[in-house]
Amino acid sequence: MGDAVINNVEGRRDFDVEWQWSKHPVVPGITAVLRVKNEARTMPYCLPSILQAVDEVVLVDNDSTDGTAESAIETASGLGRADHLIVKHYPFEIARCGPEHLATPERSLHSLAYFYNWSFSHVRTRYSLKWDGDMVLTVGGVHTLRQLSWQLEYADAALSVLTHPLYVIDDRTALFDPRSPYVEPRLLPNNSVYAYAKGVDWEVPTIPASVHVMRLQDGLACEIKWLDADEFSNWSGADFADERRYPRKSREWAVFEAHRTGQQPDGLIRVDAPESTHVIEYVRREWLPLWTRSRLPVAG
Amino acid sequence: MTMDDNPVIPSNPPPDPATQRIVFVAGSGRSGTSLMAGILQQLGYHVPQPEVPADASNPKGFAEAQWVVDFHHRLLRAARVHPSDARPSAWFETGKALNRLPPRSELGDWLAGQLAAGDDLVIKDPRLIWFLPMWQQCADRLGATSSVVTMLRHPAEVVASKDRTYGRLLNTTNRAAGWLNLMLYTERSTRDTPRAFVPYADLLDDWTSTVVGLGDSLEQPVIQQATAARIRDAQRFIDPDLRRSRPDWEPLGVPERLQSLADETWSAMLAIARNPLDRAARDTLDALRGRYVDLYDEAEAVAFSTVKAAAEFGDPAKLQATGHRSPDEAAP
Repeated sequence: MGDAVINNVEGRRDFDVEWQWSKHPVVPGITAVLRVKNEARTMPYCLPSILQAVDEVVLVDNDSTDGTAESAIETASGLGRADHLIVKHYPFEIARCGPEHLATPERSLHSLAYFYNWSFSHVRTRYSLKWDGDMVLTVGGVHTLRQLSWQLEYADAALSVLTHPLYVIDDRTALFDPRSPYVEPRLLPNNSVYAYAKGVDWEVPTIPASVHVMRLQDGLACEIKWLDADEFSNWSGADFADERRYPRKSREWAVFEAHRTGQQPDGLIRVDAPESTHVIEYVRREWLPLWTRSRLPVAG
Repeated sequence: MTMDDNPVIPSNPPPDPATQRIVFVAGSGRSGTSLMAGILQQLGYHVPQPEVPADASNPKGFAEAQWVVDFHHRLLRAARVHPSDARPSAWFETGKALNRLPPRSELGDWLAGQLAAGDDLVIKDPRLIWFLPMWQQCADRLGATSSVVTMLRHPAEVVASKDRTYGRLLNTTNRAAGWLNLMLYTERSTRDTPRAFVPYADLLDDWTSTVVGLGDSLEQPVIQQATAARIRDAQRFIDPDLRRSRPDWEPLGVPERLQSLADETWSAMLAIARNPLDRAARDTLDALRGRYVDLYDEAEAVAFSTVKAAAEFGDPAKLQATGHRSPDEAAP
């Protein structure tokens, strides 16, 4: 069983992790927790689908300088969902994945694990969903999560979600990667059993060995990568050529390198959106559901 | 906290005349679901063939596609859920089917074949509600719109009717609990879908205005444009012997706490039927689900010895019936 309060080694009591489940009975529903830093550009594309899908979104802004929080609030207001968005500010620099993370104590304010626990401690619902600021749900994904919100009201389960990278070239064009889907346990009960612990390169959820993690159907979500942005700034000293250790990042690195040097990245599917539709919206509404139906499920 | 009305997902999307429509008829068995589906069939909706044959419990037929019944039966067995299961956790067990490719593909292929004929469909089965999300996703992907019509009948009448029709395979109290579980979650699960709740008594009192009202609120051209001949067909279909009965808990022996929850749920469901936007009734139903779960958890904890004995030694009812002695009674 986890502690109701986790102190940090820096002694900042105002940033102790105080789990909501220890203070109030949890209420039915799902809360998505997004930890973001300088993702203002992505908010209008990615936030709407998750706001539609869950009961509440906790967006934790880690010292953004590009107006990420403001962009999120504006996006939620435009949808009439501002009252479902809770914005929190976490003002400490977070150790980057890889060696820097490994060298940081788990209970440090700078630790990824501590940052995750602090972020998830604000969840008031029975389930929390680990979500990223650059992830977008298909229409089926929205439907599935809305159904799970009531199906899980009084059931215990842990669920994983498969996401496919979508490399955005410009408003109309993107490259979809069918080869390197990523499956991660994301939808977990919000109680004393579940928290985040320090892993080797990044944080890991503490899921009891007895819990079977059920995987949701394929084709529910994409992870957006802007090909003109730096997608590796949250990594320290990692060798992305090491495919065995970092298969996903290694693949991303290869795609970015190929694009940067004007080559055609291997194994990607080019997606062209129709006129007047942004490629992200096109993929989530039409392209990905069609693609998913046309193929067998992804192993993993 | 519960999920609020979501302005992004319209509860009643504007109708597209070119779109095919599927009306799902849900509700507890013995609530008039066959009557409703049968009327819709007479008005011009297609019930996929072949149908479940009529029997003494439903002489006018069930308006149920045999494939649908068989499909749900298989999925329920795989999920180890009973059609009238009283366990709140059973919803997640049946919900898992949506995440499995074989049933989703099977349903998608079958539904595509049914829609290929071009008619609007009515799909009815008392087990349907356990798998509604999968049906809706398949319908969406095939470009058909979904509406849900849920029949309402007082729980004491439903339980009494089930006792008469099916005998005492399940005990009466468990049937009342099953009604609660089914209705509370039917209401919760259909909030994102165009829907209507129809009291059985309304259908018996004046089916024409009830069904025409349904056609307008759910924007169903088959009903709105039904010809006089179709209306006459529906008129002939309705069994004149169907009568309203007075709900009476007294002879059923259902515990008072369960009765009270069922009565409160019934009142809130009627309020939603009269005014689908009744926010207070929806909040009441959210609270009632919580109270029902508390009651169920408590009862499950109290009866744990029975459950344990059944799991370890077999079905206690069968043990009793065969005169089999429990290990405690067995001679040393």
